[in-house]
Amino acid sequence: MKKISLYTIVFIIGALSTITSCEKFLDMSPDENLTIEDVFANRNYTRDFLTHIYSWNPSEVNMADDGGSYRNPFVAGSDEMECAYGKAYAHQINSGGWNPTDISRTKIWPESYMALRKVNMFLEHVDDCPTTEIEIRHWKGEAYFLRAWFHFLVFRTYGPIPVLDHSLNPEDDMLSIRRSDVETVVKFICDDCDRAAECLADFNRWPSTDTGRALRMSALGLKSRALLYLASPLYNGDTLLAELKDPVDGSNLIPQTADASKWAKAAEAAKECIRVAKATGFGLYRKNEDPVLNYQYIFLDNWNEEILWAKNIGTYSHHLLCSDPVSFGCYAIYDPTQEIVDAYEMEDGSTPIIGYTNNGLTPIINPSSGYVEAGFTEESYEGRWEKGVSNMYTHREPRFYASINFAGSLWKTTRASNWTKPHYNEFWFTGMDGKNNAGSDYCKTGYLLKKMHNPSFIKGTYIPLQTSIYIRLGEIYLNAAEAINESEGPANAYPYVNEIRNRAGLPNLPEGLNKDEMRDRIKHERRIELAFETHRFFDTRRWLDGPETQGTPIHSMNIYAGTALNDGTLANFRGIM
Amino acid sequence: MIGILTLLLCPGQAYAQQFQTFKVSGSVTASDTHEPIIAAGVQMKASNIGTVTDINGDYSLLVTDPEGILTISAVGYKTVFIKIAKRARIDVVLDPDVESLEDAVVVGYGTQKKATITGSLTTVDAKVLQKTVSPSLSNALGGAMPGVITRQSSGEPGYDGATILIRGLGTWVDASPLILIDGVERSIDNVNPEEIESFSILKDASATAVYGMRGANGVILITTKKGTVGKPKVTFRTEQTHLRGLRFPDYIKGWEFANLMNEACQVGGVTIPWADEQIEAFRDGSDPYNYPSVDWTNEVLKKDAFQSINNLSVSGGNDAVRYYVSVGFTSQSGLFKEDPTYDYRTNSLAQRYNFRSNIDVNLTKNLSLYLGLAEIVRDQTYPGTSASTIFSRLRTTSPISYPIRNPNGTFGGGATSYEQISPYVLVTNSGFIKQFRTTAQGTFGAKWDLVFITPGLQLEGNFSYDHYYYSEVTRSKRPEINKYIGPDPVTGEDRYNRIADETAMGYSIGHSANRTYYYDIRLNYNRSFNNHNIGALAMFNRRDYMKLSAGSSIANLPYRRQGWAGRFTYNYKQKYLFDFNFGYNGSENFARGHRYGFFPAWSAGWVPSLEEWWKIGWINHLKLRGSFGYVGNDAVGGERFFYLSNVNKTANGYKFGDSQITLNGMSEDLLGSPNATWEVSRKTDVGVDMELFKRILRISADYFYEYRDRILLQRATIPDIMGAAYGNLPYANIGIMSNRGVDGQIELTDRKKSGLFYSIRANFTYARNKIIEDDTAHALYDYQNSRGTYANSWLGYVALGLFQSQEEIDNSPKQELGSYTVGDIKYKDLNGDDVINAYDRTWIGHPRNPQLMYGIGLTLAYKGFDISLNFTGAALTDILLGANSMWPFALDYPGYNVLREYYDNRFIPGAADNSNAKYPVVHNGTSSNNYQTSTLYQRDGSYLKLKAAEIGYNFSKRVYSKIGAESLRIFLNGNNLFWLDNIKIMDPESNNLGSATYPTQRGITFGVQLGF
Repeated sequence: MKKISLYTIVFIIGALSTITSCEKFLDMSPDENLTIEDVFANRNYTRDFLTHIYSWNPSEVNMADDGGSYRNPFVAGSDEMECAYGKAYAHQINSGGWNPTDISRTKIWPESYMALRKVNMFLEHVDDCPTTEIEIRHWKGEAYFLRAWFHFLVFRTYGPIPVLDHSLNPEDDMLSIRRSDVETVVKFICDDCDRAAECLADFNRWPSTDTGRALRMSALGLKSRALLYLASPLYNGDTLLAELKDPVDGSNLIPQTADASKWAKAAEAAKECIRVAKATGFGLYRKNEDPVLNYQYIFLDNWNEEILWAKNIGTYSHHLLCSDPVSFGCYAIYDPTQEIVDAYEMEDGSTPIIGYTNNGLTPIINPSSGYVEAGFTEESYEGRWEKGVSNMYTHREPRFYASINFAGSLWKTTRASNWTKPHYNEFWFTGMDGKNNAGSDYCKTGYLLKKMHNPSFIKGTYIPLQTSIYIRLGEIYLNAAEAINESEGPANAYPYVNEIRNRAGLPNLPEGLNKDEMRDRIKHERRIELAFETHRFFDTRRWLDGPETQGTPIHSMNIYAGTALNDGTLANFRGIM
Repeated sequence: MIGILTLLLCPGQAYAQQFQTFKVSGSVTASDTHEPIIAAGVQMKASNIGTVTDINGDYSLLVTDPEGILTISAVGYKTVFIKIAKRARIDVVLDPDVESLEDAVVVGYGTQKKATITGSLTTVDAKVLQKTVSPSLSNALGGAMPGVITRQSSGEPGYDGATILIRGLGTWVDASPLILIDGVERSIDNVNPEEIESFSILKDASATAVYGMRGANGVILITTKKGTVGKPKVTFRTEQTHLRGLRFPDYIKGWEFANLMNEACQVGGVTIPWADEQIEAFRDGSDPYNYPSVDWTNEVLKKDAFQSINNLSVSGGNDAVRYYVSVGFTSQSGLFKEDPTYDYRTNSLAQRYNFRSNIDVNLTKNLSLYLGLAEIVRDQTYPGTSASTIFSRLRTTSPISYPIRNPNGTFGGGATSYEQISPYVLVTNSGFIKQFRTTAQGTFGAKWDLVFITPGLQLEGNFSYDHYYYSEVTRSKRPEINKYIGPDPVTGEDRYNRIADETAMGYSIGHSANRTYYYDIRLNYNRSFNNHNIGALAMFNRRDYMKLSAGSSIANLPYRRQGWAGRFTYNYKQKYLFDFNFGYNGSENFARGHRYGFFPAWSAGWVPSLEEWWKIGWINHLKLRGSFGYVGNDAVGGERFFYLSNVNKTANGYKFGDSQITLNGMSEDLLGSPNATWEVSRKTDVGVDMELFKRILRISADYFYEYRDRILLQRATIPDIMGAAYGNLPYANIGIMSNRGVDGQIELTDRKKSGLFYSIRANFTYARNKIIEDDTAHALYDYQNSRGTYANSWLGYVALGLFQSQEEIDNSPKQELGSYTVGDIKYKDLNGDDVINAYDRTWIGHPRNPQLMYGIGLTLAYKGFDISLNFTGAALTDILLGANSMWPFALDYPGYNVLREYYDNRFIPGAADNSNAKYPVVHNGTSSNNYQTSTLYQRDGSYLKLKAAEIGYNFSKRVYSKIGAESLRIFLNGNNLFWLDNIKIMDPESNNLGSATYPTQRGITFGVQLGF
């Protein structure tokens, strides 16, 4: 039995060795598992935590797709632009299909609150961070601004919203958190803007390594916009939403009586913003003598003096692909409407089209403007139009040429790796950019968006570094004009509107406008100056102008006809989209 | 190797000499043929002493114990045990192997006699599985046995395995069963059916309790063949299959597409794009560059493919060593066409080599060792573009988008992103991908009869190490692609828009690897005291799985489990049966204090047919059994350490500065839930087994009820305003689900005196689950509440048909799902508010994995010929067809391809009679009203398939002995010969919103099996 004993020993040792250290065997855990406290005990980690909050900033230049932090259905959801990508979320807005199931395709609600949770956590812990007092103060300023900003993004979409000044725990009673009325929401936003402005009072301009961080001017600009919204008819005595009430105490979430003093507060905020801006080196962008180039480069000259709050989007290119024509191998889906094209003034400031008949198909042309739709021009004007284009596109105001690509316009001299000839847009049916030569992505209106497109972009070859502007000083001038016209009357509004018009190469507004006429002029000026900058959708709503401007069909050129620029079948036709 | 074996053998041989010997001889014959059985194993029970019968069926054996028991076994015959009782001559007649109550059945961590089993388990003969000639074993399971529900959603070589569910879905987190091959968790689709010795599925708590928190979803046990004592037995089997792709997506022709565009513009009231003569040009193909009409499906897919499965195995042994070694080669080619100008392969090809060596060594009379080694090598080739991209590109590229090649010979393409590169280029000109997988599996075991302590006591240990390595080489390329835009109106020169430049073939490689070790140690005790039969098991096991190429430090940490398990069985005269099973185990997935769970199960059985008062002669065997117990499931999603709150150290950053440098971001990660633990399932099973009419008819049936509690869910009632980032809401054990059903089988098997053998088998599984609690917010309307519905059901509208007139629209509730017109889908107003919106959705349809699955098998054999048919069916399942290509221009007018199913059944504006139209009118844009999930696109996914049919001939000894063989069989087999279903346009097993998956195939196989 000796051998058996030997095996016995081996077996038993083997068996025992397996069962030893049982509890430790399952003690697996990450070697370095940071906690939130660890993050705020380290200066660099704290900075990284703040950096991440910025990453929730939306990419507003992406007007085609929904979801993620790419979320801007509002440009193509208004009368400015059609997005020719069939799955664009904007179509839900336009066809009345925006309902509780697909609203989640815009991530505005959840993602803004995701950002807000992090902001609140940051503010709750940042005092623990071992760094200088100045840095903590600046960080707090940025955080207060971001808290105001993300609340504003939700507010402009949903109106009365829950206001969160602290981070929530999963165990908290979530049902006790209710929507606040719009006055409370805007007050919260403005209070945070004030705190931010105070913390960042010495942070006037970005060092070149820190452009993109919130500044005092960002806060002052946001405050101006928030107060303007609050003073507007939608939130100031709008009885259409009388039934929008707190479910518990029954109070109205939108004030039911108009309060004129809100305009005065909005005016004050805008004036204060402009005053501080001028005092700290900000101003309207005026680097180019040519008003066309000057206006175009407001959006291409990164971090110029007009920018109050913007996002570095690096070499992001989706919006560039969306606004280049199909012959460039691009998508051609940012298609401005005939409505916005018609709205640009003539170069002398006159209005070309004063209305429509025949269900919007036939324009009523202002004879004194010199605008004609028939025929093709024999002259050319460098930097604006080429010989042979439709007369519709001649002698328009400079911002038109900086914003819109139309049939026959010159667009880039290099369109692909194997191409060096100048490209003239061929939006007619058989043209190389035309419907006949495209798939389901094609220029649907006969126009492509030129504004905010950096022409140095070449698909597959070069993408420039870009920024996407959220707030610029030009908007604040128009905020001031609008609020002043309401609170003080038209006389004091003139200088603000005229400054924007003159910078764009247009003459002053005619003298002697009454308050209503001035209001219409300011609305028009906002429509043109701030076109495609995610204002129109919200402006028409806060003015309660939606039914007239957004509830009607939009129009285009006839992209189903034409074999040449001057055969007259593309132009001189308006069709309902 | 041989050296090691010799060393191991020496002590054993020395040991055997210590006993006196006694000679026994005799012959072994078959009861059905009355012919001698050659190479039947004759062995002393519980010892290493044995021999095999010679060519005349005779044996002679020196035994050490004249009172011992002889075990006589032969493949295809029932094993018999005979007491020697000091007899010198023992002749034995063996009965053909029809399943018997005396058979040992593989159960969790051991075997049990079928007669004494009280839990619910099913075994199936590997030969039945082999009738479904498929490289993926999972495809053979559906309909082959009760309790299993399967669905094969793709036919792509290398990726055609089926989803397996045991008794349906018991949880909506991870319902996949535990699959153990030779006791170790391994992939079922790596197993070669030829290597399978036994196949069991364990269904109720009693059968799976020993697996504790791994047992709740059921367990599949596969053991591979082992050697038996005898001279070397060589088996060669080859199956050559011609595959034919079934139900390719059928898209409309170019002129039909153009016609549909016109129709859409007519509906939209805009200019008609194509004149009649242009449509004619699409139809007659007279101008293929300006008016292309490409049948992309036909251009990239071919109907025929080939498959080959070959196996060679040798087994045998003597009283010291038994061996089973086998090698297999499986090859399956794909359905993609190739460009003949390339000398490399782009069509799919999946090849697999299986090597296996199972060696048993008797070291001493009581101690034996086992070494099982297997290597599975899989080499697969695919086009440079994945099949899912190719099939979705077929859905998005219209027949008139562009020709395959332009006038200048370059490839056609489109400006829009989804059609820039044509399906033809993707399949034939985008390079290729090669995948290499190697799995090495080794199991070492030792078994020691502790008779010196007490008879019936046995100690057993197993250690296994598996290693998996995967590498993927991508050689992608792209040719020059242009969009032809016609001649220049002035110069007449052809013009092109450049879509993409040519790129040279690239090279990229990816790897992944993992390894697992597992060991267990078991103490078994089995003994009879008069009529009291006692069995007991106690064991410990431990597993450590590690991703060797994990992408993060957390994923790189080993996944560990360990546990104890035990079993106690008792029966009195095999008449009154009791079992107690338990598992006690822990997982590193949970926090200390929440790691270990105890899972007990009790079962009992009664065999009234063994009672002395039993008088019903035609019921030969009747067993009633029931079980109740707890089992767990720790497969709770991909998150690890969700008990810990942690910080994401590389969260999204942000670009700052004029040069736009991205700064790193840090953020809160998953919110920890320190109390999280496994799911627990409370299972009840009641069953009956019967054998009737001299055991010709066997019936067994089970009713089961399962209550799955503490399903680990991410909290869903926490609103978005809390602001946890995507996927970071805390987990909690809050889900509850019930699952109930019945499964059963009936089998009629008889061998007539004339030699006619016939067998009819039918089985079915019905399982219906119900969500009791899923932590979703309570819906405004009861009919939208997910509680009370099936898991994996879907929320959709009830379609009332299509609007036939403007008047009907005016008199119907307003639909707020996007604009609509005559010919669009009309929905039912469920809440009666006269408006159709999201509140009018309800739970529609049965889940995609069927609730009822059944199989019917027939076998007839006579004088060497045999024929068998295996039908598989499923019911209580629905499929949703609504998706791209069923929604014309789903991207936007005129984007995407259109299926003929839509085109032939659409609402045609202005047609005299649209009452038979199944699908809504076409629009010159997207139509969100028509793109909703609704009953309009829902189809009954029931089917009945003739999954396998085989006709074979076993040559007589006269023939095979001429070539020196011992058996020879040839057979012709057909898979998927016949389908009966409602879907017609694709495999009824396809995924929802399907038609973009790789088609399944029909196989016609010629096979030969030769034994030496």
